[in-house]
Amino acid sequence: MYDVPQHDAGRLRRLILTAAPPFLIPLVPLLLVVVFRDRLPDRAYVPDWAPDQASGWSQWLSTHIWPVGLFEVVYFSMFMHYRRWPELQRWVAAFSFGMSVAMAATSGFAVAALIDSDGPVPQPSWAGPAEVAIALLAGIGAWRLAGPLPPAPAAVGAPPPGVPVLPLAPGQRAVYTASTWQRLVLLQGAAFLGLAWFSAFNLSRSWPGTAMAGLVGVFLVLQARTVLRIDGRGVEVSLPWLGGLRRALPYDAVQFASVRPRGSRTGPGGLVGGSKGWGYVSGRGPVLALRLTDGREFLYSTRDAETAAALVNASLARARGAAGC
Amino acid sequence: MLIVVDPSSAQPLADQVAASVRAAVARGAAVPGDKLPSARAVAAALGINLHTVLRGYQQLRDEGLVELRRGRTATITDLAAEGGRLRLREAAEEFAGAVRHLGASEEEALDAVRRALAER
Repeated sequence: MYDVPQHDAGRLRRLILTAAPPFLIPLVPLLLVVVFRDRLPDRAYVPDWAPDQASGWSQWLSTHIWPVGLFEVVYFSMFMHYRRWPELQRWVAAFSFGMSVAMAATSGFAVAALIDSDGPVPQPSWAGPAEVAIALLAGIGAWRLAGPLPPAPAAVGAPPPGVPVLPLAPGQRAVYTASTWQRLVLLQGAAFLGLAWFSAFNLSRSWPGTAMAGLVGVFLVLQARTVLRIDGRGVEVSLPWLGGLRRALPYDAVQFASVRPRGSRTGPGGLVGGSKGWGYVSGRGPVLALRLTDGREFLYSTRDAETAAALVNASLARARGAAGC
Repeated sequence: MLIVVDPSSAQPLADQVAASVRAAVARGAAVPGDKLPSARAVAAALGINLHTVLRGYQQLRDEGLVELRRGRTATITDLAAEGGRLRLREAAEEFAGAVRHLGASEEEALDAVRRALAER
């Protein structure tokens, strides 16, 4: 039995960097309104509201409070979903910082534009690009603050008895390849693209939500076709439609390989995955399952999963000096 | 699809690549419509020459087992569905290897096959 390794150094720091930024959403406009109260018009003539329906400042500020609770729930759920994966926690922290700063900047620019004005004023042309630039800088800053990450533990033992092992002669070299279509991922991507289209024309003029839905949709669609390769260097999954984007698993990060029966698991979340693991499971046919040293699993549906697992175990045994491989 | 080569073997590497694909088809691991990995990827993974892999793929094309198109990957053809014929070829190749190993002549080998068939 393998222990789940502790791989959580710096988790509290990344959690704080994830949870704190949404509070900027109400704080920035609140501070601006408090500081410039005497130089602002009586009503909040902000771009998203028609001038004749503009509310008072207190009412407008109160609309910034409920998103904090929503984002806290979303980001905390994402963080816990990736609780065993520091790399993804770092991405969540960067995303939380970037999105929160972008939303705070949107409100901040709207208030700043109204300083010393008596009524509605158009947003300056530089406001949009400035929001993007500030969001990027905030995301990059949070990314740097969330690092460095703890190193993943390396496996040293040979595969346990009972797992399939390919009988490879000492001089033999082998490569295993397989490709799959992920129909569920394709449908999810299409749904996100539909949501982005609907949001762009019907729901909101705010760009971050629409852009994120569109980006997620494109990212999912481009993940629909995957290629698995196993050779002497390790295991690699690539996305040919996504410019050959790939994720490699060196043998140091693998404890052993096994085969799961047909339909034994639902999809583990693609190239990103979650705390339980990552990979591509189509729900049909056997599944190659790799136990990783960080306590997670890599899963991949392939018709000849037995051969794939046998090659991984043979390569592990060879790399770790076990006899007979 | 598993491709295995042994650089120390007397069998040419291109033949070993072709034999691996035939074996995958014979055991049902590769079916008509499946794409073979790109020759470049196989060459890089196995540390052999790209043209060696292409020669192996061309053997399979000459047998009608795969379809090769310029600039595109090789695809397993419908001929692969005839698994029995492929298994026969695999068995013949294994027998031919044994004949060479034992140093028997072609006539002796064919006589042995005829006798074995006659006894069944």
